[in-house]
Amino acid sequence: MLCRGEACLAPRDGFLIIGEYTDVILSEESERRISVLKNLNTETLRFAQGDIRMERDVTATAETQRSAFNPLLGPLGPDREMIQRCIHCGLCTTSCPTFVLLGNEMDSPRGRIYLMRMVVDGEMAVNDTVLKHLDRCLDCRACETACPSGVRYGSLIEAAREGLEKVRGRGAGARLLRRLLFRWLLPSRALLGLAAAGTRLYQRTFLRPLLLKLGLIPPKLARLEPMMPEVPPLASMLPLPSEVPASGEERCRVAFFGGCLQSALFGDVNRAAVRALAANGARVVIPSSQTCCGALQAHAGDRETARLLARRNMEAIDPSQFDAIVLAVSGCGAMLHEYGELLAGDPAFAARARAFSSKVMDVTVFLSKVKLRRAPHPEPQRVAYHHPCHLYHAMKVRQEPLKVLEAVGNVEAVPLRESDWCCGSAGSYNLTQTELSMRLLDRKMGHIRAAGAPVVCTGNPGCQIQIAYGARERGMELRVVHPVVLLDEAYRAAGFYDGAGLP
Amino acid sequence: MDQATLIAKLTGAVGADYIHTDPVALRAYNCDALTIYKGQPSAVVLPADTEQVQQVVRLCREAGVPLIPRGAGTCLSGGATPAPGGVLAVFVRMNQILEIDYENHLARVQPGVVNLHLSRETLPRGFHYAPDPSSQMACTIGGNAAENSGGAHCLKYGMTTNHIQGMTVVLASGDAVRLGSDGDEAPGLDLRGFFIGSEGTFAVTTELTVRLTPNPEGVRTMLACFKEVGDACRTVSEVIAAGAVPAAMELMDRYTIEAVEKVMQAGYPKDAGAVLLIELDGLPSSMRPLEALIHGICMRNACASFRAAQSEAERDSLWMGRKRAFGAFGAIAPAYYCLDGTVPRSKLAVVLEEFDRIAARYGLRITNVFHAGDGSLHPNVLFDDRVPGETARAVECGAEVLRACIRAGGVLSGEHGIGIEKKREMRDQFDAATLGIMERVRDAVDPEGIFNPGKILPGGDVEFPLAGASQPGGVARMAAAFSK
Repeated sequence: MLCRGEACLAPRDGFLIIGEYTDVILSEESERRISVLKNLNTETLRFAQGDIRMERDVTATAETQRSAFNPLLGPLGPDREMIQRCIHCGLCTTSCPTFVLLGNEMDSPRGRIYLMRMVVDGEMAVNDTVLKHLDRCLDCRACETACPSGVRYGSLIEAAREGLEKVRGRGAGARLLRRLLFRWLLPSRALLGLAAAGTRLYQRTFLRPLLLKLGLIPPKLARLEPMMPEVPPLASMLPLPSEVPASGEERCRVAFFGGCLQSALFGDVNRAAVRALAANGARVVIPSSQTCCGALQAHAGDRETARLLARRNMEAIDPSQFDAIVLAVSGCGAMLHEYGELLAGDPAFAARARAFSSKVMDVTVFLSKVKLRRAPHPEPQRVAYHHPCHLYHAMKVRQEPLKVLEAVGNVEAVPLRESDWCCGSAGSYNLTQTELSMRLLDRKMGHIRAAGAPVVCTGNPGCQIQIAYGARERGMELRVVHPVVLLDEAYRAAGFYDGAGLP
Repeated sequence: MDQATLIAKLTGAVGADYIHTDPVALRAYNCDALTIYKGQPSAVVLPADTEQVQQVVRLCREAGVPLIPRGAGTCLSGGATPAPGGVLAVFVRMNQILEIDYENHLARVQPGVVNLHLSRETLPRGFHYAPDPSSQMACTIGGNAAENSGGAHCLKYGMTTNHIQGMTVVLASGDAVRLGSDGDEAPGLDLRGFFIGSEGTFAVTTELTVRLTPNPEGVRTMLACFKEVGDACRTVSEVIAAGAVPAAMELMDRYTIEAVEKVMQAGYPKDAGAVLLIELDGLPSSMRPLEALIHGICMRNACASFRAAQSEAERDSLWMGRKRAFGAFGAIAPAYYCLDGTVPRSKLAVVLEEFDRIAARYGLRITNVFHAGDGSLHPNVLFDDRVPGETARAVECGAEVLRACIRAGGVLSGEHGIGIEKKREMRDQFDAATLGIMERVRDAVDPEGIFNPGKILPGGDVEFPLAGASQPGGVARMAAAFSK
């Protein structure tokens, strides 16, 4: 018999064959055992040494076969040393939202690392089951907080996803759509603005009821359509000025990073952040050639585009010119924070990327490092705080947003259960894994309801969109807002901006 | 019953969403936290209640296929590693706290409840569940009962068996029976005591009534640092000899401190040869003299520095280092093999020196982090599982360590269970007559050997292959072997 397909051989007592292999000829006895084992639903076949003969020079073939078929091998694949750091203790499992929902080992961080390990080591071929379980990962990185061995799981899953794209077999249409979205739409302010304007037109006019009624929207899109946030007036999409001077004494100079979707959908948050920074003595520079950060791409397995965008952003912002690179969007923050790692293998950019990343700071971190001006909010606020995963688990920013809220007087912080749990938004997870995402949202909304606060504060547009959608669906009166916006409202009411020419 | 029929019937019992037979899934379940032995199940089921468990047990018995219970899969002795071809029952869905009776300090729980979750739930009412294995953030109470787990605070509060009042178990016949009672007394033979620590070889537990412990009025956590590990050991022995029983007394050696500080900065001095983490609890008036006594003993034994945590955050940090020490070994070695032999406290210093000699003989490193107060050791053999033959050498080295414990008057396992891991060494610990009694008890409860075969008792025909070297380059090496 001539075996075919992806394959792997590993030395053990006798030999182990997993999957099938092109250049192996099996003895009749082995063939018989294969059929027996297949009936038993086992894919591990054991052979004695004499059972296997090779058709041609195996040394070369095996190597080529392995690198040709193993999508997780290579310099950009998951770091084998990092995989080795996982000692399989299982302490991460209870922190993993998908494990808690599904209860499967393969849907836990430990299980997923085990699958990656077997694929990297060539003991298992990638098939639909492997893809299914790796795809279900939120990349929320709660497991990194739980891990006693310091495994940086996020870097493993993102590298794995990049490799898995090679074997996914997406149709030409899907590939084109991904390329359009990741390469063209997100990095282009003009196209994104156009898309936002079109969406606003659709949302605010007869188009929406008409198209929905006529069934002109494909069913899958129609199902996702209600999740779409309301696009703000076009004025909020206007670019920020290139520089905003500090009001009062200038104590530092920071670069501000807007983020693509954030600028299109939450331009007001960026404006609030810039005003609050200026009011606290920072000269804020907003380099106009900055672009999309590449986070959505990296999470979806397109790290190539992410690296491209990272280089562009590093050309736009020279870290040596600023005390900090500040942003009010935590998903992008985590990405910028990891540029050093993303471009570690790029000799032209590695050093600059490290310098860049070391200066990246969430706006709440920056504000809690300066002598933050305090002001009471004009209306009493009862606020529950939801930790965005990439702020809490990836950037380890935990207390700073709460400190900023403390500086806003008239705010009562209400405890929120599982506030460090993913809301299910997770980049594009709510679009690709809608069912699981909605189960997580349901859990989140249950806790928010129980907390009873009319305001939820959170620092990431993805979480804001998801939680606001959850509230709309459930008919809950809920304001979902970035903490810096409350600070901004308090500053405005206190007259901090009077006379200053702020955006 | 053939394999296909069994799978079909199991699917009928638990529902298609809660059975895995896909080869990828089965491999994910081929070991617990002890990764050096593997066994691949033929199916994994996730039952929802006692009745489903009963059906699964009956089906397995009818088909003559082993049934292996699994909680969180954090066992360090291979207790949840399935006998090859067996059916693995995972209790992840049976994770409800059914009832909390604060008046009588009891909780009725399903076996899949995570240890720490019960304490978290009862904390606001002033209670906790006392046994606190280091894996408590993930491990389950059902698994704790199977292994009779210990933990740092078991020095004062006792092991899991002291905290389980009653339990419902499903026997090989498929009958569910209630062992123990909800009161403090249970007449007749202590069957509850028999089943706790039987590592899933007697029956499957589907419900437990556990004791809740009132939170202490106050806690005092101290860190004593020593230049020499021997001085720390003598301190432990003298503290207990002086009649003081702290809530916990944990020792970490040089390598452990290195690993912990590398990963999480718990605040242990990097130049110390050993640290002792000592915790007292109770009324402040009763803790003060005890603290003075312990401080004095530490100082007499060349203690280099001694401090008490000044805040809850500092206490958490000190404990975090200890609770996560095992995981941190991942940062200083590619793999480790954790043992849990126990020796009399007075022998601690001598035994640790013996471990050093054994490690040198095998060319490996042994680190120590353990419940010093009750002499419950955790020697960890560090090795590289990618080096051909090193796994086997680590296992041999571990066996030698356990024999050293037995020679010093100790036992094979303090709390992790025997599992697959220490089965062979049972013959070093017990004579044939004693092992014979154990076998007869097991055979009386599970005559056909359905439950978790191949564990605890030596002999039998279930084999768990030692994991081979799995590493990139494996194919090339194998190809080289071919060409010879």
